[in-house]
Amino acid sequence: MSKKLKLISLVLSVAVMISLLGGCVVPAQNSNQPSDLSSTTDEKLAFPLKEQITLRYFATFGATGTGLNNNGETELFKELERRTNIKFEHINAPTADEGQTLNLMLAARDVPDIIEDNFGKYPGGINKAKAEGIIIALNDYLEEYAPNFNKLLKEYPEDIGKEISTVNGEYLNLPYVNTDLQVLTIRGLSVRGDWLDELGMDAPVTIDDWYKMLTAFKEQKGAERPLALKLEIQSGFLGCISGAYGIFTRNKAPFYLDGDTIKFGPYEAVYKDYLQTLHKWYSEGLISKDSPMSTVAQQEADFVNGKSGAIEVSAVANTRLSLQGKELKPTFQMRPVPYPVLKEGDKNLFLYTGKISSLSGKCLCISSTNKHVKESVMFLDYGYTPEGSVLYSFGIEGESYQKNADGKLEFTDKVVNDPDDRPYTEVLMKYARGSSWGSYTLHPDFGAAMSLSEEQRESNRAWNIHAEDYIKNKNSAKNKMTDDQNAQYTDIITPIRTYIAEMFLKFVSGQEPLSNFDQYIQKLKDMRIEEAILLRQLGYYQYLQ
Amino acid sequence: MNNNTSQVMTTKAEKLPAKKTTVWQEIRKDFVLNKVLILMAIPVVLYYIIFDYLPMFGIVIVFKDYSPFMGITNSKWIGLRNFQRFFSDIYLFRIVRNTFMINLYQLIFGFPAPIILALLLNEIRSSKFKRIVQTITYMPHFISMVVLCGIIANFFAYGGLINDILSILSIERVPFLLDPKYFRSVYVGTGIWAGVGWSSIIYMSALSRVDQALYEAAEIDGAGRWRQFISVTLPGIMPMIVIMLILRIGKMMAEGSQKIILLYNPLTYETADVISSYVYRRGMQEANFSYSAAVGLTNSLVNVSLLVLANTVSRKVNETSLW
Repeated sequence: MSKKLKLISLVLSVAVMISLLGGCVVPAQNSNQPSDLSSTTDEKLAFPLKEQITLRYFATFGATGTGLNNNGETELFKELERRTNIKFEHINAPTADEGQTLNLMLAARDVPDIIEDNFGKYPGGINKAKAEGIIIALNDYLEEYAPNFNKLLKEYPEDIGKEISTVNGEYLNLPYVNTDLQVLTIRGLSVRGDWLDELGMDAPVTIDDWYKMLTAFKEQKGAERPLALKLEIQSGFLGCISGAYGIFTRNKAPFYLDGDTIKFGPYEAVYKDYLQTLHKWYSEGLISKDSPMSTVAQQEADFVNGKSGAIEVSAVANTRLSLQGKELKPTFQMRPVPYPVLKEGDKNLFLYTGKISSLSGKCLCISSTNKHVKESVMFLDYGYTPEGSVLYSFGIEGESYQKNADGKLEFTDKVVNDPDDRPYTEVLMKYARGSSWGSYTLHPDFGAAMSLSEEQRESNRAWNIHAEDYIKNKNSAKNKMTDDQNAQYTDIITPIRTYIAEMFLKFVSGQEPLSNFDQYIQKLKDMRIEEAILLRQLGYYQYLQ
Repeated sequence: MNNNTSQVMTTKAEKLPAKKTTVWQEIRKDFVLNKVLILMAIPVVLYYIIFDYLPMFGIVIVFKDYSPFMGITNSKWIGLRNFQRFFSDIYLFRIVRNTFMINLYQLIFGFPAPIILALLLNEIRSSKFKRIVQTITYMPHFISMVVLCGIIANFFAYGGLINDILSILSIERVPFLLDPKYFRSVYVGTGIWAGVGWSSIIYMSALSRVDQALYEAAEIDGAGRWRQFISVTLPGIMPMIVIMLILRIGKMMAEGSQKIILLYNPLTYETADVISSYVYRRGMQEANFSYSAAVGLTNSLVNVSLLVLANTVSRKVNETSLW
C-alpha cells in the first residue's frame, strides 16, 4: 500500500515538473545568499600577487611514471608558483588511496585550502561536503575573480553551466573543459588489421560483420579467445555492441536518455536480442569461458600475443599496444574500427565520449577554512586563461612544446622521443596535465598534437564516425537529485545492480535460458525498477531547470 | 593469541576468590608478589585499552549518519534506519545462507584437516622428512592473499592447469569459478590447502606435551599403535581440539570478504556472495560507513551468542571450556 502511495506521489511530482517546464523558464535560484565580498575596497588583485601567500593543496599524485615524488616537483607547479606568486604546500595521495587519505584528513579536521577531489569516497559526496561546510560555493566569486571561467559559462550555459552546477544551482568545483571535438570519443574498438588484410576482409561495420570476423579469427588465425574483454554487464567493449541495439549498458546502473524519456538499458525489450547475440558468441567460443574473471592486463597481453583479435581501448592504449605488438611481430597492425551498428547506414549513438565540461575526474574546490578565497578563485580561473590553458595542456615553451611553422603548438622531441622509451603521455605529466583531470581548458591544439602516431589519427577518425549524430542526439541521462531523492534512489538501485549483473552473465552463459527473459523483466518490476526510472526522470527534469 | 591470554587470566581469577580475604587485600598481596609481572603486563593492557576497547565506543555510528568531517559525536542521529535497510534487503536470506554454508563446509572439512595432518606427522619417525613436510605445508600461509587468489584463479580457469589435466584424462572441462555449484568446494578446498600447515602447529605443540610415560605404560600393557592412538594421543589433545572447536563455532557467521571478492563474480553470487562481500559492495563502495558498521555489529552479536552457546554446551558435556 505505502509502496503504491510512494509511486503515485512520484508520478505526481514528475507531472508537476513537466508542467513547470512547459510553462516558463524558472529563474535560477542562486545568488540569494548574502555575499561577504568587500571587493569594492580592494585594490585590484592580479597575478603575480604582490605579496606571496601559501596555500595547502590536496591532490592525487598521478605522475608516478615520471620518477617524481609529488606535484611540487613537477615543472608545471614550479611554473605556476612563478607566475602566480602563490606558494603551494602539496599534500599528495597515491592514486586509488586519495579518498581514504582525504577522509582521514577531514576526520582530523585538517582541511587543506584547495582540494582537488570530487569527494567520490566521502559519505554523501560533494553535496554533503558543502552542506557540512567543508567546501564553499563559488558562485559569488565567479564574476569578479574568475572572469575567464565566467565567460565560458556564458558561452556554454548548457554544456558547462547546467552540467556542473548542483541541484541548488551552486558551483562547488570548476570543471575540466574541452571544446575540441577531435578527441570527443576517447575510447573505442580496435582489431588486428594485419589479420583482416590476410583474410581479405574489410573492417567490420555491422554486428553480422563482427560475427564473421571473429569466427574467421578463431578458425583461421588461431585466436583462442577472439574477443579480449571482461564479460560483465558494464563492459566497455560490450557497451559498443549494445549501442548498436540502441541501448546503453556501459554502467552498473545504465540509465540513458531517449528523446526526453529516461530509460534503463537492461529493462528494454531489445536487450533480449542483444543477449541472444552475446549468448551465441559465448557458446561458439568467440567470448572465452574465462572472460568473467579476465583482467585488463590479461586482455592486453592476449591481444598483443595474438590470442585475441579485438579489444576496447583508449586512444593512448591503442598506441601503446600497437608498439608492443610490433616488437613481437613486425607485421602486427592495430586497426581502430567504428562503433558497430545493426544494419549498414544505422548510427551507433552510444559513444564513449569526453564531455565539453567534466567533473568526473578530479577538479578543484576551495575549502571553508581557506583564508585566501579570492586569490584561490583567481588561481582556479587561471586554468581558463589562454596562458593557463597552454601551461596545463602543453607545459613549458622550449621544454615540452614549441610552435610549428603554422603557429600551432606541438610537443618537443624531448617529450615525444623519451630516452627511456616511456610513452609521451607519461613524460608529459612532468610538465602539464595533458588530457587528464584538473580545472582548466584543454588547449585547442592539443588533440592534433596528441595525434602524433598513425594509430591515434586513425582511432580518432574511426571512433568519431558517429560523433555528429551523437551530438545532435544527446543520450546521457543527466541527473540532479536532492539528498532525499538520492537516498531513496540508492536503496532501490543497489539490489537491482546486483541482480542485473548476475542475470546478464547467466543469460549470456546459458545458465538461465533466454525464454525466462519475461520472468526477469517481472522480477525487475517487483524490485521497483519503474520507481527508480521515475526518480531518474525527476532528476533529469531538475537538471533541465 | 588474544584468547589464550584471556584464558590464562580467567583460570587465575577463578582460583583467587577461593581464599577468605577481601578483594583489596588480595589485590595488594598479588601486587607485591607479582610486581615485575604486572609491570610487564601494563603495556599490553594499555594497548588493548587504547586500540581495542576505546574504539569500541565508535560503534554508536550505527545509529548515526556518520560523516568523517562531523566526527562521531556530531554526526546526525538516524535511529535504526541502517538496521532496517539491512533487514529489509532482498538478498538478506541469500547472503546469510551463503555465509553459513561456507562456514559449515569449513567446519566439516576444514576443521579436522590440520588435526589429521598433525596426527600423521606425529607418527613419522624421520625428523628430516617431518620438517620437510611441515615447511611445505606452511608455505602457502606466507603468500599474500591477492597472489594466492591469482594462483587459484589461474589454476581453476576454464583453460587452466586443472582443466588441462582433466582434458588429458579425457574428462570434460569444468568452469569451476563460473558455476555456482563449485564455488564452495573450490573456496573451502583451497582454504584447506593454504591453511592446513599453519593451523596444525597448535596441535603439534599439544601433541608434544602428551606425557611419553603414558605411551610406555600403554606399550607394556600390550597396546598397539592404533590402540595407543585411541587411548593416549587422542585424549591428550582433546582439550585443545574442543577449545579450537568452540572458537571455530564462534566464527560460524563470519567470513572475511577479501578472498571471496578476489574469487567471485556475478555468475557465482548465488553461492559466493556472503555478508561481508555484500556489505563491501553496498557499504564501502558507497562510502557508507554507518551501514557497514551496523551489519558488522549485527554479525558480531550473532557470533558472540554462538560462542557463548558452544562454550556452555561444551562445559556441560565434557568439562572443557574457555571460561
